[in-house]
Amino acid sequence: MLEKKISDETMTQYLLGLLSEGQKEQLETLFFQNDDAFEQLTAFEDELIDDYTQGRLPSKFRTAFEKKLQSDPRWKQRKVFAQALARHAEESRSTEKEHVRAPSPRGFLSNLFQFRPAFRIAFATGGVFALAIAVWLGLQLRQQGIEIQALRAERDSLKAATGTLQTELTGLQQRSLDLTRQLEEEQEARLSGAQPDSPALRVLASVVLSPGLIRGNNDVAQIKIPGNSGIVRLELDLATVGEYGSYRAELHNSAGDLIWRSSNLSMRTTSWGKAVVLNLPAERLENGEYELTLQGLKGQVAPDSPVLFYFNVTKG
Amino acid sequence: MRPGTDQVTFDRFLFRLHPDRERAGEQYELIRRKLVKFFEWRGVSFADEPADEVLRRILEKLAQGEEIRDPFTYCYGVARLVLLELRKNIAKERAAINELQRASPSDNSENNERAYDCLSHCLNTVPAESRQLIQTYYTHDGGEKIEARKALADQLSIPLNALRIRAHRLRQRLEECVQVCMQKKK
Repeated sequence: MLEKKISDETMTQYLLGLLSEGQKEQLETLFFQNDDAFEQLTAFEDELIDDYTQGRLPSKFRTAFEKKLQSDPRWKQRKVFAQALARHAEESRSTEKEHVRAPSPRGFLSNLFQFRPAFRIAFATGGVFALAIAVWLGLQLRQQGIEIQALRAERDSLKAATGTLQTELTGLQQRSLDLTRQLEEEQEARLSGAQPDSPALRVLASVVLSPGLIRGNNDVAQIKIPGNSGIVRLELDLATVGEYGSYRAELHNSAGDLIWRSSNLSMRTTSWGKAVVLNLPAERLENGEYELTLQGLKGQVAPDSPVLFYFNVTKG
Repeated sequence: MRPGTDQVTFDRFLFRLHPDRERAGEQYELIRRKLVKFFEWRGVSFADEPADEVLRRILEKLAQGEEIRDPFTYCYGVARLVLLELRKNIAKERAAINELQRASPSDNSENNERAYDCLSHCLNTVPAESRQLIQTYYTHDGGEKIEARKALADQLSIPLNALRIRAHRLRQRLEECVQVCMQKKK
């Protein structure tokens, strides 16, 4: 800053032409390069003129000042201006003193506004800031209120959409279950090929099968089927299987292909004991060995381990 | 554009002051203000003329292809040359002014009254906050003045030096306004 570089005394001496040429050049080089130094010097010039006008200039500089004043018409004008400014200031001071001596009965705020200009400015600035902050806060709160309302509306809308989607999903799940069941039924119907008790179909063979016989063993049941138009009746012995609410049966050939399947089979009481009776369409069966799987079902729980039945078909 | 220079040279000078055209304009004004004050402080009565002469010479040098590294220092160098040339005339000028003032003595009290009225008028032409600032800045006296100025600087959140410069600029505006007003009233 300039205060550190040039003293008031040096600036006074420069402005009054009292420095040596070398000192002048030093100062001028500084203010040509440094804008702050220049601004400070110009501001100091005002104060120098004010000091002279108001009798505050040290006596050692008065002669030099008056000499400068005589030779510089600008300074003369500036002195006239400084006198006018000082007079305004004096009147302003007097007015203030009167206000301080005779406070207005209008109240605290009025007195405060009539107090020193610095306080007036401070109060006014503070008021403007307070008002600006209040307005800003008001706007912020209003904006937040609007945003909260929008968020609430969005949340409600999402809730409604979620409910709708949930309903749709439930419907779709139900529809999927229905379709799955329907598909299974169709597959079963397709695989079973015919209603077991259809009078139009002829029983070509009837065999009682017991579980536990081993595939490829000579003891495997042999079924001879004389033709294609009719059914083969299989009675599955439940003596070692157990009694269940329903049964499911699947028939695979020796290659492992599913040939036939049926659910919801129920236990029947035959002449020789309890059995699950299957009526297979003869046309589905070819010469070869078959594996029949029977599972007992207990409502919705997982079925028990399957029981296997084996038989051999010879068509002729 | 300054008289006697072409636009290209003037643009080159501005660019040398600052690449941004607007900032360059501000720098040009500042350099001119420094020149005017330099001549004023060195006792030249009509400082605008030598200040413009310095700028004209610099543009001429630029047009001749001279390279200017530091425009402000270069300006100061040329200004000192111009001042040397003027020195012979300064004494004559001062003597003529003194003679003129003696020949037509102005009524000081009338002049002061006019200045006061003009200042009242000019104070009403500046914004209220500027008027408030200048009144606060100049109203107080002695130790009270220093305290009041410190308080004002704190209140405006600016250093005391910045306040000093701000008050000076405002005062300059008022002085110019008062000069114009006084001329009209004469």
